[in-house]
Amino acid sequence: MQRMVPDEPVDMDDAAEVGVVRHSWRYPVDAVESGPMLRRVHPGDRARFVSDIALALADGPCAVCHTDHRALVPDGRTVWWHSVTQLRPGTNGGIRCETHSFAIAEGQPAPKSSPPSPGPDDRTLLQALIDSIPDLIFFKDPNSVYLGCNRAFADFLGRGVSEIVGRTDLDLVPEDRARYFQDRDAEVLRQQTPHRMEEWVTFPDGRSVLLETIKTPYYGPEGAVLGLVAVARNITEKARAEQERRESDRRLATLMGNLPGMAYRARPGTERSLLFASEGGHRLTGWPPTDLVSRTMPFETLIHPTDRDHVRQSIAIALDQGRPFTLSYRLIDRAGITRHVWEQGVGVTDGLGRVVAVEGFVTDISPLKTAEDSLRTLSLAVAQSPVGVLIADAFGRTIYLNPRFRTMTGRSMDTVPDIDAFIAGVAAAGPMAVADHHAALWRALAANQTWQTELPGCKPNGAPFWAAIRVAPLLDDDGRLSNLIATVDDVTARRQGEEQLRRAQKMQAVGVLAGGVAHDFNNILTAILGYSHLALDALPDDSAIRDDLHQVTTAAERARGLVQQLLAFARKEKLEREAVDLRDIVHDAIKLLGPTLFSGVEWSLQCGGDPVPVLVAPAQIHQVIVNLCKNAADAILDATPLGQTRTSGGVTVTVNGLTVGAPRDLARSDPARDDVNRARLDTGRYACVTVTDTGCGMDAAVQDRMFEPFFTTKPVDKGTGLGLAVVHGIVSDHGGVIDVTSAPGHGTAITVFLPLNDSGLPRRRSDDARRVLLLSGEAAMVGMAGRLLRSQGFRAVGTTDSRRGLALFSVAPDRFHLIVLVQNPAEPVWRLLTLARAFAAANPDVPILLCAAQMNDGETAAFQAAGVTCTMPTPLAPDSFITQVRALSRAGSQAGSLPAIQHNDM
Amino acid sequence: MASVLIIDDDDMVRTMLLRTVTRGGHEAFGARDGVEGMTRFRDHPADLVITDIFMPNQEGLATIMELRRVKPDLKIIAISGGGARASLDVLPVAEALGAQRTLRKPFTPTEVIEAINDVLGL
Repeated sequence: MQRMVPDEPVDMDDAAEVGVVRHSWRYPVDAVESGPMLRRVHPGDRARFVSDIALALADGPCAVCHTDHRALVPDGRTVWWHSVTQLRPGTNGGIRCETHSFAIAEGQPAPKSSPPSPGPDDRTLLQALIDSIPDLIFFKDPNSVYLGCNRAFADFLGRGVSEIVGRTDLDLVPEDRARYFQDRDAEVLRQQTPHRMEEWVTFPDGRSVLLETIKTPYYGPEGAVLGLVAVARNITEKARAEQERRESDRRLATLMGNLPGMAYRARPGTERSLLFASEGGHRLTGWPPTDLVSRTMPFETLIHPTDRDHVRQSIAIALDQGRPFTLSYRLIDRAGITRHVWEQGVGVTDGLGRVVAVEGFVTDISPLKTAEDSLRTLSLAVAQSPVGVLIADAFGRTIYLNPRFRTMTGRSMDTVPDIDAFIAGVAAAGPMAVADHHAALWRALAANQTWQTELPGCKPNGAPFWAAIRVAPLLDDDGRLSNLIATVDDVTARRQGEEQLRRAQKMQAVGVLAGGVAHDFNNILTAILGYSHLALDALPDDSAIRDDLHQVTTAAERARGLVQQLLAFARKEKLEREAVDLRDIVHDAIKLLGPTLFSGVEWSLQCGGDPVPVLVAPAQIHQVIVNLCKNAADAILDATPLGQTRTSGGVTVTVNGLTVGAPRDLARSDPARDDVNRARLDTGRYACVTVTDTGCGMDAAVQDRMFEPFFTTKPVDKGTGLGLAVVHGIVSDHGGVIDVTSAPGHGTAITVFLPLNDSGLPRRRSDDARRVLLLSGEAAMVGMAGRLLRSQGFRAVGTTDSRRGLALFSVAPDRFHLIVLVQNPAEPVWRLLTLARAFAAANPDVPILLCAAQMNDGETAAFQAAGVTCTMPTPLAPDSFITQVRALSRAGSQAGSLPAIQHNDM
Repeated sequence: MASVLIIDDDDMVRTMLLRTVTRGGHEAFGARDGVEGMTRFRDHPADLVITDIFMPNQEGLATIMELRRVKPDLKIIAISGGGARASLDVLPVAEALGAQRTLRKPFTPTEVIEAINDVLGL
């Protein structure tokens, strides 16, 4: 809506309407007193009106003056006008005035809230005042025509005040904006309430600012709405600050929500009631923060009862001293699980230094605590490890040394500055050992490999031991060497075990070797012996070759002895054991050795009156006694200086029983050895044979190896090195132990401890011995089978006379568990059938085993009908024969459960 | 003078025994194993058989039993130097099966002659 400003006074409408421009005049300034304008001004205000313009003219050619004055309207009423006069240079060099007047109130002058007659000075002052306010101020009439504004607003629009007053937004800003503003204006006027709005606007210079505009209606003295007044403030900075504050709040909230724990604010005091708890409190305690704050679940009650006092006191002391506190204690969460927590907090004080709140943070350190515990366990394990442990940095400098190393070597951390000293501390050779190993050690470490060695070490008490040293690189996450870990272990026991194993393997190898070569070797020896004898026989008595041939036979005889020893050694574990009196075996052995062996050697046999029962292979123990006695005799002969008579010594053999109450070390066990490796005699009852000689004796080195196969101190032509190895093997197989007491020049005593057979000597009517009746036409077969059965613990009654056998059986069939009939090669089948029938008739419960040549099915059936339980083909295989006898004799003791007849093929 | 069959797979031993027996004044002939020994024995029944135990084809114990079946009163001397299974001492078994004497290798010619004369009751 354009509003024309006429060149001459235009009296548009005297029916005054408040706030609407009523009149506009243009006139030269010097014509003000005579112009039509002044005629409309109330005579009482004319002088002030002129004076205002004169004052404005003094300000400059472009000044503006505002004057509130009474005006005369055609209907004779007096109304209050507000006139704005803008001075402007005219085209003819004079100053022209342009005055716009509009009614601001009707009737009587302004209400008492307004100055009754604001003087020109007041108006100027008011304009100066609002111009000095940095906020944008403007006011409009009800038609949204600008009635006035301050300088800040004019600057904001980039125009002069006079360019704004009397115009509307449509003249000043783009239409869409203008319509928007006018709509807001209309709303303010309609609702008659102040409106606040914020909007981004752009200044002419390009600045974008956020304006907070408050528009409020203003009223005339009668309460009529005269227009609206607006104050707009640049709140860009404030908005930005607000935005930042909100962002900061949001960040803080997010941060606290993400915290692995609970941030809190609490009232001071022992109760510690929470004023705030972050979301993390939920995860920490299982209770929602609202519950924690509302005292549904006071935080104090969640603390482990044992820890409560400590927590209270610690916090109280810290607050008292005005310093932060850190605590570690236990919480019990909603699920009843105990958690280890860590808390840090500080008192918040007011200006007077009084604590008004406590703020802090509580976090769950249970995983840490667990890790810490396992770390402690780990470090305890290292500290108490049975292995000496050193931890060093990447340069090998000691960081840690465990106590075991100190006890092992007697060295402490002070004397073990680095890994070299560690090795030197272990090694018996000291620094010499390090020199040998240094290069190899670091070469291995450089390749990220573990270096290990075993070397002879020396304990603080000087005792030697075998040390296994391992040095391993510890790598960091990037694969770089960060630390070294070195361990030293006493592996003496293992080394000794290995040594024993090596010896045992050697013995086993000898056995295999002996078995393998003995047959061929014996054939060869037979040939050598045979041909040399044949040759000797053919030679004349005075032949010079005879002596050579004698040497051949002597050598062959020696070889024969060797092979026999080898075979004895190899055969040892396979023989059957018998319950015998050890004294009998010793008697027999000494009798066999005969006087020749002991010629020139005094000997005595000392046996107690009581039997010494053992369960052994008699032939083997016999061999043990023979070998020990031979050795004893040899020792005496060795001790006899050449040329002297051989009566300087004696051999004593004693046999007795012994009860060992507590395990005891053997004399031959090395006191320097660890306990576990000592040869010892366990609790039990033993049968002992001691062979004592007064011969040359043995030093420790010899004693150590005396039982090793092929180890001998005898001249090449006398010893095989197998005698004591055989003894050792046999005694070990019998669960026995050998002890040796010897010193060079002081003779030797060797004692064999064999487990005493507590079940005693076999009784004649042994309940568990199976009695077998053995019948064969062949005496040799009866003898062989009888021996075989007896060796397996059976009681065999054998006869070649069938009538006698049947008579024996018939007298007391219950005494027998099995009848064995062995066919004589010449024996007809009918005779065996008759015999079987006769035995079956005498007692059908005793099984009959028939050993006969291959038979056909008809014969088998016939034998079955005759009462034979089982048949075996001849020739007999000892193994299956014994197995069959054992099975049948057992079955026979259980009447009614006899197996069906069977024919076993070999 | 007796007729003696010597069964041994080892040529050296067999030859030595043949010579020893011959020189001892007896007639001697040999075989390499039990099978050959039985054949020779059937062709020419001997008064005495000296047999090794561990032999290929047919070993000594079976041979002894077979010989006994063919001629129950045959005199037999079993000889052995042990087998690959050293634990097996078979000479007592041979004796049980009917060998009158056993000789453990190695032995001397004298021991052989004495055994022969003893068994034959000479």
